[in-house]
Amino acid sequence: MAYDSLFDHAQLGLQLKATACPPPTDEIITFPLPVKNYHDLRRPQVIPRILVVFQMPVDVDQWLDHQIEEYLSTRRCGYYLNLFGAPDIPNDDNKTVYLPRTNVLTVNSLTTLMEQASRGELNV
Amino acid sequence: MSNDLLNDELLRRVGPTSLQRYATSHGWIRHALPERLRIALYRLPGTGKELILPQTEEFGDYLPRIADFLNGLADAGGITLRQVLNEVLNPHSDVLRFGYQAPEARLGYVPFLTGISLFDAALRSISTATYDVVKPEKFHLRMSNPTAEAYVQSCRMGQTEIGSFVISCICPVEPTSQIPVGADQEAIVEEAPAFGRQVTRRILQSVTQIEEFVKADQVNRLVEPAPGDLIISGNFFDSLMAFPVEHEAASLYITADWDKTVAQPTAPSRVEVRHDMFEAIEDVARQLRPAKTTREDRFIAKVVTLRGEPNPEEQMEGEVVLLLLHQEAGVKARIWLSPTDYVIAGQAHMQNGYISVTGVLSKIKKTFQIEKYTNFSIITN
Repeated sequence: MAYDSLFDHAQLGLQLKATACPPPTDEIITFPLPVKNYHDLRRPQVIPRILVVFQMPVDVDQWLDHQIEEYLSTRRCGYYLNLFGAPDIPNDDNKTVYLPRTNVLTVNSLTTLMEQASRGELNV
Repeated sequence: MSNDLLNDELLRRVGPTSLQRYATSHGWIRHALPERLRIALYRLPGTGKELILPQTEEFGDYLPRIADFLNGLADAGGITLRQVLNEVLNPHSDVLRFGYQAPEARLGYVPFLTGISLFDAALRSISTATYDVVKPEKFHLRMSNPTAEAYVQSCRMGQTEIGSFVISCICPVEPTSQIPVGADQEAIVEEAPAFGRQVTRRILQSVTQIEEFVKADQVNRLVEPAPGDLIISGNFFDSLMAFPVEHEAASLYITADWDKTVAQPTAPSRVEVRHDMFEAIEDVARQLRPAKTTREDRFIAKVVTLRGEPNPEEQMEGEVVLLLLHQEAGVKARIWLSPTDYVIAGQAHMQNGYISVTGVLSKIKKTFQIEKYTNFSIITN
């Protein structure tokens, strides 16, 4: 936990989504997010909540590798986005959101997000 | 209480203020956070426990976080969620439960009129006990004391409960210093226990004393209390008689959940009035009641119900119910009218007008009636 953490037990909520698609070619990844989720993510939350979109191979057989006793690995990766404070929109079915391709969810980026959550920086 | 009962409506009722008060009174320390976060952070020293309380309903996860906070309080205190909720929803209150035990009430249902009688009798018990605290005497001729009325007004009805038919009354335990006690209405008594606690404790103590003296065959001490005995008013005995405990298998019990933020009383927290005690209670109530007044009063009233029947001469006469508007305002009283006066009552009723009558108002059991009446007439503008 960050030395300047406000909380002993910081929490972070993840809105998990998954999609099967070819590997990205642009620097921005688009994702059609249900409007209810969009509103939940843009509204203030006591426990900050971010969107994680996990991209998987189109071929279902390639989603998981080495499902053995030693380990299980997944192909491709997840991208995160903090939609807190995003503008209100009409109640359509979906809202296309844009995730920077650099926002890969890794151990390091998740650690950074947790530190930000512990300092109350994700929902202000 | 399961977490399923933490519904949205309940969680909205549990405001941050009451939770803050609860947390602080149970040892949680609030830690400062930047105002922009609009949340309060509480830690319980020595436990490593931490709870977050939202300060505004604008948060999308306001209700789940309130639920988390409640569960966290229960978990840290090693008590049930129900206990936390009772205290949070009814801060600084004793909860009195009047339970009607009878075979027909086992499923938690009673006939409608029985239920109404229970509510009415519970209210009268609290009310008369309040007067017994304000001014202990054998009978309160006039129950019109602002302090007592204000206290009774502040009491709340809780949820009915299954098991027998149980009605719960939430009785605030105010600091004594806020409520003047005494005939002059000026004196402010600072000593504990708080006024509300004196009332709730009084009910339990009074019933305990009644049970004790009835069992010991010392009913006379309820009429003429010995030094050190509680002075229980005839009004309180009347209030017990108002409970519809009408057959041998029925009984009444009263329990108290004492508010934990003030010192715990020495009074018992459960008492029972069995059916076989009611004969003695009625006897004492009758002895404590002042001799019937024969004072005549003039009453202004409206005719509410005409219940007459034709006499042998085919003239209507008989019982009429009046709603008194001047003396004893709000009381419904029966009067037995002659054919001539019955016609007048009928005219007043049809015109929605007022009548005037002079007579003696008396109360027999729960019913008021006007006797020895004269000058029954319509009031004309």
